[in-house]
Amino acid sequence: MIAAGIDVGSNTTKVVILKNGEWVGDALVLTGADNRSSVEKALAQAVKAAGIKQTEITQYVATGYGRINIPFADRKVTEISCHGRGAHTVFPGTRTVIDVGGQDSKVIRVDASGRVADFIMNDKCAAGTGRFLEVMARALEITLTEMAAVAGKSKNPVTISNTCTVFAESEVISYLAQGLPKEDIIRGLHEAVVDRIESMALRLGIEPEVTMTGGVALNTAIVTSLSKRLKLTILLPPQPQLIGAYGAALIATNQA
Amino acid sequence: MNNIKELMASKLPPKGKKYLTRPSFYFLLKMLTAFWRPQKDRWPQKISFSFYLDLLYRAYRKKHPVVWTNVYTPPELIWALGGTPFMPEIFAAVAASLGLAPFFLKKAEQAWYSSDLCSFHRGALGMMHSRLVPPPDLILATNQLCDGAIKFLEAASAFYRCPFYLLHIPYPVTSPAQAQTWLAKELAALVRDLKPLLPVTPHTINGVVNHSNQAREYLLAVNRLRQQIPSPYRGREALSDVTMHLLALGTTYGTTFYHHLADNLSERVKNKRPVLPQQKYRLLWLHFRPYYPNFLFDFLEEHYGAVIAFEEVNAVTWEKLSVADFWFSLAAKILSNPLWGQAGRRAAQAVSLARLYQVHGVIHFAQGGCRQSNGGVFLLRETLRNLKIPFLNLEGDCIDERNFMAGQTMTRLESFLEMLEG
Repeated sequence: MIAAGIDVGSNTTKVVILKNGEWVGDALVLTGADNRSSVEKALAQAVKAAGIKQTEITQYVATGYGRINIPFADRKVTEISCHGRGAHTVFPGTRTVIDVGGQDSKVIRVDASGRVADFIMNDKCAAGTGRFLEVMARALEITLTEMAAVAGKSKNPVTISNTCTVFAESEVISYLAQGLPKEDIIRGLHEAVVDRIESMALRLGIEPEVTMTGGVALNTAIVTSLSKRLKLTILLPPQPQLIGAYGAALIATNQA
Repeated sequence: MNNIKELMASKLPPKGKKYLTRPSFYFLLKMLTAFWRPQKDRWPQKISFSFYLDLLYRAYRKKHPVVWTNVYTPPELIWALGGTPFMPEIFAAVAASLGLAPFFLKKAEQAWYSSDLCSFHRGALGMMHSRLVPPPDLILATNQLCDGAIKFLEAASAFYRCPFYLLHIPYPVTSPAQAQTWLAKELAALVRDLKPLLPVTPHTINGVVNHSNQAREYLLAVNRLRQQIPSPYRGREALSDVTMHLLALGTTYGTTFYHHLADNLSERVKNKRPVLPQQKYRLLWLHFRPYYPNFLFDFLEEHYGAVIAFEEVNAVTWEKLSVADFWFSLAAKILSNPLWGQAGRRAAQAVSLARLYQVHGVIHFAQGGCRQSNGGVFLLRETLRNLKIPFLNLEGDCIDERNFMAGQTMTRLESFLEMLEG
């Protein structure tokens, strides 16, 4: 039985294909302005990686903000349930999932069987999401992948007091104009993101084990800082940005 | 000062304004409505529509003093005084349902009202600055439930240069009986002060009390019928009906509205006509709902078989009013509101309603800027969580559709229902 999970996020579209429950293929492409073509592209790549034909896929579950725009999906499930299921399958001891994606951040409590027990999402504000870091990286003329490494060099991080992304960008520009070292500004930005995530996590209540998913989990500076603040080890799946699609594929497999 | 003058001289919106502010317009509509013969199920809507037309007719005709007041001031007080109660917050919701709220909200923002102010009040202020609401002869504010209401009504008093009265309602904390006696005296003193403008008569009190008590009985019957599974009535409609409960109690409209509604629901239960035959989930709704057109309730029903089984704002929490001791019984009614006072009262009511209506979960609609409601969310959540009743704090806006984030709201709602599905 072959099932596909499709996660249409604000930045990237991810597909994971499972054959009899085994992960056989995946793909990640930029979402862009046209959700459907990015889904088609990601599916084609994942099918190729899995070495199967698309017609062999019998179940599709769509998730992510663009899930409503996938007419052929057999079921549409929120990313909260999918990240919960995916993270719990990778690390069965998981009771709390911290998912930080492009436009949303969520803290999800799951029970012993991986079902969502409670959750919290960020408000309308982009602070505490991948988008915040992206905007700041652009202002600092640095790539997202370089950010974590540069933040690690900081000795004296600045305080970013604005939670609004636009105002925080102005704050960054003003720090640059003052001649402050880039690494201190970048570290300050990381701490601002961690502040938001930590606040949500504490609001909901943390129960170990904690697993982090979503694209921002690739940023080691964020994970390290969050881990220190929460005083616990954060588990990281091999491809954290694919965990939503993996969870969707697992749900597709189970419902077939 | 110039700004205030400009706003007062505002001509917006240009078309139709002169008709909308004439009593003859509402009289004509009232006459036309008399010919409307809806299906039996829709009869309460006809009564509600007629009530609003009559209210606007009365308010523009100015035969009875127009008393602006805030939501949760018992309408019986103003009807008994022979006035016409007008609650601008309710008309902000009406404007939202017609898709007009953004216009009025912008109008209020142009008049220096912060966008952080509750949109019920901003919408009402925008309508006031647009001169599209019947001007008050006097204002009677109460501190129940929110401080923002007093401030916006005080602004209205300055705008229209009309007298402003404030009824101070105590928190029924340590001694509810003492609070009731104190409030009854406050009410009696207020009525004495208002006598030159609103001379109260035993005759009007008698009529108002009878209508209010009858409507209360019918509303109790409606609420009992709504305990049926599957649900015979949509919460979304009941959240609109709440305006009848807030404004029409004490009138024939209030009595007939709830009489017809009780009959309808009784028939639906008897003939097994629930709103959703395949009902899977029953939900309790706290606070008001978004009044602008939105997909939330259709989505809940169609995709998850979920209905709003009941709402806290439709609970009957008060005892019958008494003709012999009107002010004392009115004070008791005011103080019986669980939304007033410590958050624990509200949480206790939520628990009791959740059990009575056998709901699967509770949704608190967290209206932006609503301190009186949002301030108690922690207690609400903890109380319900300790009893293993799932709770969703759904942030949004009842009036300002510009603050409606469709995707985010849907994800929260869907996740909550997926959680209930397990």
